[in-house]
Amino acid sequence: MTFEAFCRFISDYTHTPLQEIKENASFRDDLGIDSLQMVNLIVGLTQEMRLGMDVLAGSEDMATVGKLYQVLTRDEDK
Amino acid sequence: MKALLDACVNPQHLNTTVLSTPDRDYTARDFIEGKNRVLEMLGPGVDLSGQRVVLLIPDVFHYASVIFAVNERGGVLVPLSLQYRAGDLSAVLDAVKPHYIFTISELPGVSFSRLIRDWQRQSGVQCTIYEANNEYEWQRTDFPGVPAVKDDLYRDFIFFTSGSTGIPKGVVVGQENLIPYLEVYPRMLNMKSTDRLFNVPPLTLVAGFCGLLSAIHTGFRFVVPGKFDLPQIAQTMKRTGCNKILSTPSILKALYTMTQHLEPGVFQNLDECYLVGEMVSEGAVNEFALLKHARFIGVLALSEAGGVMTADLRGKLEWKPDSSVQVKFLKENGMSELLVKTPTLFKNYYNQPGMTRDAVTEDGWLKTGDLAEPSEGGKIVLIGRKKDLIKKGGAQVVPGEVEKVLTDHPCIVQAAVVGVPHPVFGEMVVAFVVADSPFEHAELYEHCKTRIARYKVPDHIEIIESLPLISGKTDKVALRQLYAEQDHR
Repeated sequence: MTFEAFCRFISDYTHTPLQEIKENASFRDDLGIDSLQMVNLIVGLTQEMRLGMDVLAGSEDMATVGKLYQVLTRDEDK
Repeated sequence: MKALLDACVNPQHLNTTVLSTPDRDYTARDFIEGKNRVLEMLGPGVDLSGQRVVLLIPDVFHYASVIFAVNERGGVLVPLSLQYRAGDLSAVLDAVKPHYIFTISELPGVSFSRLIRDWQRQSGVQCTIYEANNEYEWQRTDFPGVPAVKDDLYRDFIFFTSGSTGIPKGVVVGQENLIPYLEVYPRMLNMKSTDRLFNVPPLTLVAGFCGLLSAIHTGFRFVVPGKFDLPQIAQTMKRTGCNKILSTPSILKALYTMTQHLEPGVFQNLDECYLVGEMVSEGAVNEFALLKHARFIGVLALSEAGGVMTADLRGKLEWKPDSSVQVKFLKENGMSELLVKTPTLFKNYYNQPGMTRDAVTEDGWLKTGDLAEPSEGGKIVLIGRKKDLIKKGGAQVVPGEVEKVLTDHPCIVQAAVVGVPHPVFGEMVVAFVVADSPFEHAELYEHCKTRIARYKVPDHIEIIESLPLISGKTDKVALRQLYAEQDHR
């Protein structure tokens, strides 16, 4: 999944304007996404990308848009 | 009448850890000291009888310290949710007209200092504001204006929920109605002084707050999340060795989904899970493989009544009222509504005598809004809700409030909001709108986000030519069906 497609997915899924979804944007502080919405988004993303939840190792992995993208696409090339 | 903290403190548990946050532990003695520091700041001899004190404080220890101090001075406490934004916050402040506000200056993405100053300027109410940052050094500012009238209330609490027409509903609970919680709460949750309970419900609601009071009294450990960060919650539960959890079903499921592979031991340690705030379907608890050994108990609690009854969620879904609760059934139009009388029953809705009369019978029975039928052995089967209420992630969303915000948009002429089952939220908020001119969906979402708490913002907005009607009212059953029939991939 490209970074652009990833941002579009987040925008559609959370009704957040696409221009606000930047690499260093914090889900909680910049996009105002609360915990349960975050779980919902991650469930949606992992289904879309056919991944298991076990790719996430802690809070830091979900802190910013860029970090989450990096973690979820880590194994794409393999 | 003793002040609330004096009534809760039990000399036997004075030095016991009764509250844990992700990074600190507190004993009952710490609360006495915290309260005394606030009293000192308020100044000697200040009488707050009949004066309303609004709280917007995220840190549980400082929140409770202010409560205990204001309560000792006779004040009326109004704890508010930190999820409020400009629209819902000013609606509540208009309804309360507080004499004092204690607030955190800002949280990520929202400046409460600014929202409150805007409200004060517009309302012109005379008010004293105490602000603090994360260090909790309170700074006082006095704003001149028209003095608000005092209430004939002493040491009472007003807990706010949304009303059906967007008018905030303040549940007035007297201190004398809080004291019985000290027995009811530990009994319903089977708490012993050695237990460690992870608590999810916010302490701005009566049930959450009374959990802390019960811990101070009974000596069990009450563990709360700092911010809502699921991996951090799992770590806090691990650090404190929680053996029980009180949560909404959706949050327990989210916590389990996100952290079972990180901290499986946290779930293996739990021997009792109490679920509150949303309906649970039979068999729903079987999906927690790591919790096979744990008991699952449903708790029915209402701000107006306190804890009412519990059910073993592994068995047939039948509810057993607590020994302090009386129940009966009101049969009307072929429906049977559950009525209760409890020692923790509220006094009234703040300044809403009509609303109070609709909810409580003349002889003191609360109409719960739950449709129910008696079963064998004094047990009760819940059938559904009479009131039109959405329960999303344990928070209550009143359709009327969201509909009003939608129709405040210049392009929207009619709106109907319904709850639809959702795998993460329990229920999600779906809005159907009738527009008289074209509009951008994204712009309508933004319109809502700046006016109401994020959890109330519709998860989906659908445009419809006209709303279906049944007996002159919007047919919400038809709307739910319409939504279910569409493909929402």
